[in-house]
Amino acid sequence: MKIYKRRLSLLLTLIFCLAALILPTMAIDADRDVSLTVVYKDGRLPIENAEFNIYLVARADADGRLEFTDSFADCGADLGDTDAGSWRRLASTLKGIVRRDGIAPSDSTVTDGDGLARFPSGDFSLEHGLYLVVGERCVQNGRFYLSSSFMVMLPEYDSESGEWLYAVTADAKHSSDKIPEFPQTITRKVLKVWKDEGSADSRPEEIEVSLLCGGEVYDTVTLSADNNWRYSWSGLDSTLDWTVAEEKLDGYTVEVSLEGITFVITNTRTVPEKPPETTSPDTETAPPDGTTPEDTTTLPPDETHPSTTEPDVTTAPEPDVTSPTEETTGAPSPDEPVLPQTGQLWWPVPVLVSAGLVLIIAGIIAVKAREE
Amino acid sequence: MSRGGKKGFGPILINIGLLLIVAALLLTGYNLWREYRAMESSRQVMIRLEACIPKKAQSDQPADTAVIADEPDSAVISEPPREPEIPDYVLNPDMEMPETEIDGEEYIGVLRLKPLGLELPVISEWSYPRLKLAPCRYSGTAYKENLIIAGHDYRSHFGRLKELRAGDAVEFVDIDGNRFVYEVSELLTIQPDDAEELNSGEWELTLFTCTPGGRERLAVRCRLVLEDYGTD
Repeated sequence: MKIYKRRLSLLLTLIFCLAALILPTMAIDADRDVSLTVVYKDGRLPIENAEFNIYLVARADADGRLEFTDSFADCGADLGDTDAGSWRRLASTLKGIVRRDGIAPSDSTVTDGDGLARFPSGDFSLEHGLYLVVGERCVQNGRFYLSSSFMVMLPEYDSESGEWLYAVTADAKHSSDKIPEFPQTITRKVLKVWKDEGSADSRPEEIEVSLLCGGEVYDTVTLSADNNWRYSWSGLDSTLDWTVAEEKLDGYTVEVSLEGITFVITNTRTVPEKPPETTSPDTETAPPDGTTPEDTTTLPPDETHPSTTEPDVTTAPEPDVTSPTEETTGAPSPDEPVLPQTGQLWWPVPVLVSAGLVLIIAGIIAVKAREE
Repeated sequence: MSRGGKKGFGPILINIGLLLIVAALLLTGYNLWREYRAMESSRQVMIRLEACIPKKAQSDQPADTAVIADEPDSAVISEPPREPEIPDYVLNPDMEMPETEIDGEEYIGVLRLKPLGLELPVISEWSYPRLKLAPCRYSGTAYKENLIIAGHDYRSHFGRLKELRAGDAVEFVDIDGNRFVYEVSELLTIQPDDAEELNSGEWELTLFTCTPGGRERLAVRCRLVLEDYGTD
């Protein structure tokens, strides 16, 4: 009997363990408030009175599916991949957009004496969803601090515990330097990358890109094939916060990342809208363990699983734009694979000389023969 | 009987022979004149092209200098090296090669054939009139590592390609100052109708010109051994 009970106990334990693996993880509790604490420190030194703004980019439902808010519905950014690198680029992209469009933050506060910025800043609740966190430039003890924008999901999924965390703490990365005695300058470049294989003809002929300093437009330039889709600004104040944003471009997603001194703006061609088989393209889902519908899954930023919502791009082979066209250059087509003639006309010279000499000699012989 | 009849066909043959030799001399003169024009054209373009290409010294310190109004000269401060400047082609290898216009032609860079002591501008797209000015890009880009350059067989252009040997260094510098150093791997002869052979083998750089007589093409295959931002 004891053995039977022990076996039953083992069986129940096994079933429980399997159930824990198979059953959906805990859904987001819509009634629980979320909070975010941004830690802003230079080593151990708190950075005080630094302004932080958070923007609700996409709301999350109970299953963690994300849907852009109205303010960001037409931003052109792609929630697609949710690995850390993609979220870093998403934050960089959205930072330019909120500054270009003057989007009002969902909440705003400054860091306290401990270098902590706490959200919500007042007696209200934050909506569940994906937030963009933007720190403004600040000065302290003769140094300037430029905070890197970042994305944070509230609540945040903890992959180790398998639970949603409703009180989230995040460290704000930053760059810092002494304010120089005399202004120093930096160069910032912008480079556009088109990911539109097979659709290069659909590109706009030109597009305007703005260089933003803080919330102000510093300069607007036009990128086109004529300038190789790139531009360079020099003489910029090294202590200020520079970013770029381009005009809204239909049919493309946009992603901005700073690589060295170059802002790389990548536009990816989106396929025409398909019949709505599942969810809207802007909608994503969250629970990392597959508890949500198959079509869209949003993972926490520390997850590295590929997203299933990455927009398709056309797969037609890229035309060899570097090959000169036959009409303009004489490059051979597949039907006429003849390499260009790159030789000078030297062969007639010895032929002409030889023939000439033969004729002259023959002529002299003929004349002498005639005289004799 | 006419005078020509008295002397027979001898003088006629002599005159025709002289005409042929004159024609040979004229053709030689024309070729030498074209050779001279090609050399001068490339030399003039090179002077202006090298002025357009950033030098390495500038590239290593991409920062500007700031002159503050109403401040003494001591206020000119160089930017400390902060973030590196990553070449655009590294960020986007699919980009088209930058061009600069000189006398109505678009150039993509400079080709250096050091063993032959030659520095030549490279025109972006080839055509027969352009080949008389400078070597031209036949296809590809240095960034995609499939660049093919065609050149006329003027001695000042590609006429001495046959003197290259395996292991010789060949350099290409683009308009941004990015330097690509190649090493000659092999020389081969290609039939003029064998474009497929020319494009085969995934060579990072191929140079080609006509063989003497123009019946075949001499191709020089090169492997990339170094990429560097800036020029010497």
